[in-house]
Amino acid sequence: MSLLELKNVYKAFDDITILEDINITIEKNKIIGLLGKNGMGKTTIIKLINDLLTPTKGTILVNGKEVGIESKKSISYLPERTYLDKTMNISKVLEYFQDFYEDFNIEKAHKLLKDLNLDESTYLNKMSKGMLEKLQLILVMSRDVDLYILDEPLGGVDPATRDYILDTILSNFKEGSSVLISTHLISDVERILDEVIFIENGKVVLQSDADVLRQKENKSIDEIFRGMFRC
Amino acid sequence: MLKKLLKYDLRWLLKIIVIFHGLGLFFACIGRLIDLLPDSLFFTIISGIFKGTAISMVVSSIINTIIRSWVRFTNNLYKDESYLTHTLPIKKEQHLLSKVLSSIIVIGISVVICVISLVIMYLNKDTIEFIKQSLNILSQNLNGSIVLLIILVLIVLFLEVVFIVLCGIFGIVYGHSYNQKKLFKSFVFGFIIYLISTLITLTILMLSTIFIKDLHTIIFSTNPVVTFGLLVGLLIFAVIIYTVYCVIIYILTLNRLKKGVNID
Repeated sequence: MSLLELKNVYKAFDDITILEDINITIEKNKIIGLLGKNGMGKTTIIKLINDLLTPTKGTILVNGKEVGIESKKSISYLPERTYLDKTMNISKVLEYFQDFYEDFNIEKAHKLLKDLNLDESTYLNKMSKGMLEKLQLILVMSRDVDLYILDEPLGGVDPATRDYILDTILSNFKEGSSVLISTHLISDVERILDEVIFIENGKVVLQSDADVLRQKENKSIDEIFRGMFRC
Repeated sequence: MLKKLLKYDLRWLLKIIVIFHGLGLFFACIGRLIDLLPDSLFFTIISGIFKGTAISMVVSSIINTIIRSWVRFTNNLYKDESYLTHTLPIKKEQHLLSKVLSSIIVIGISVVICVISLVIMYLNKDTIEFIKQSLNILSQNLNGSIVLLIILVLIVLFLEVVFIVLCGIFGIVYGHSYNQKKLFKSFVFGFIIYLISTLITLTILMLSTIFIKDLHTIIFSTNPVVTFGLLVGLLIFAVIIYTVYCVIIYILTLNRLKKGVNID
């Protein structure tokens, strides 16, 4: 049984089709890059998997079950935007995650916060956007789940922070689980990817093993991407 | 999970509302303390100002609870926070139930604070005597239990507030099922469901006048004779109809919510 399956998924808003006949299969123990230019449908796919959008047609299965409570227990999701209640402080946010996620590893969260020198009594509305993004990453990676979905985790951050983010992802995801990373900054994530999925105009144009693709084309993933999607 | 959701919803709602409660009780106490000072026009005016402020605070707490319930619902289920809310391993019915229950609980607390403030401000031997006499006169004229009437009126008022909260939530859920002008459509849907419910109530009342002569007299006569039985009947009708509306609106809202959301 695959970890995640999208079968003939369509999504339209009113008369505008955003996704067309999406078929994706993700297996366990892989790091997958969901790659595409901005506005091609990457976030829409991720939102469908996370029950933030309802598909117009098609089926989405997580561990063989349709999107619902069980799938939400298996997925840890980092969205593009800040989703925390800014009137809380960090310790209240940790309490919130501990209350609702049985798999939330509070010790790991404490350790990662300590590494960042973040005081847990700090209120979220006193934190910079960058720090909030790091806090969200810590919360997401402190869960022990089957699938981590990270939507543009490197978007709009400096190179040093990119390294911190990638290191945090690589050193904290549960053994045997998979990570789906959506990004257009391919050169930064290329080294960690096992598989790639290219999205263009709401369609999957390529799904392949990263090493096989590199050998076949004799180019880096970044170069293949640039070649395929040149404006 | 419902308990945990309620904990956070109540905490969010009460965070601001307790300030109104605290100020209401504070001004009520000050107003009462000034009453203890020697009689003078100056102190009477000052006491009146404090008591008026106290009443405005507790009334504001109820209005604020309604508005904050709608804001909480929108933020939590359709704005940025919804990215966390909808990814929690919790059923949609529990989200809705928690939001509605937290509103009802806080409205209940506000009503209790309102009563306590009134007691602090106005309860003394003279007032108790005045209330007793008034109730006796009413009781004799209507030939029935006034306590029953008061309880029914309070239940009707409470149900009406809950009904208003639910109309707003209904509007938000249906308005946000569209892809554009979501807030405007939320307002329109909320207003339409309120209007339809009110029109149905009026229609039932008008139709009832055909069969109930006393009701016809109350509504159409310029000098109606009100009987205790008719008053109780009308209040029970209001309790039933508001309960039915609340249940129907809740079910309609839940059904729409269970069909899924489309978060921007």
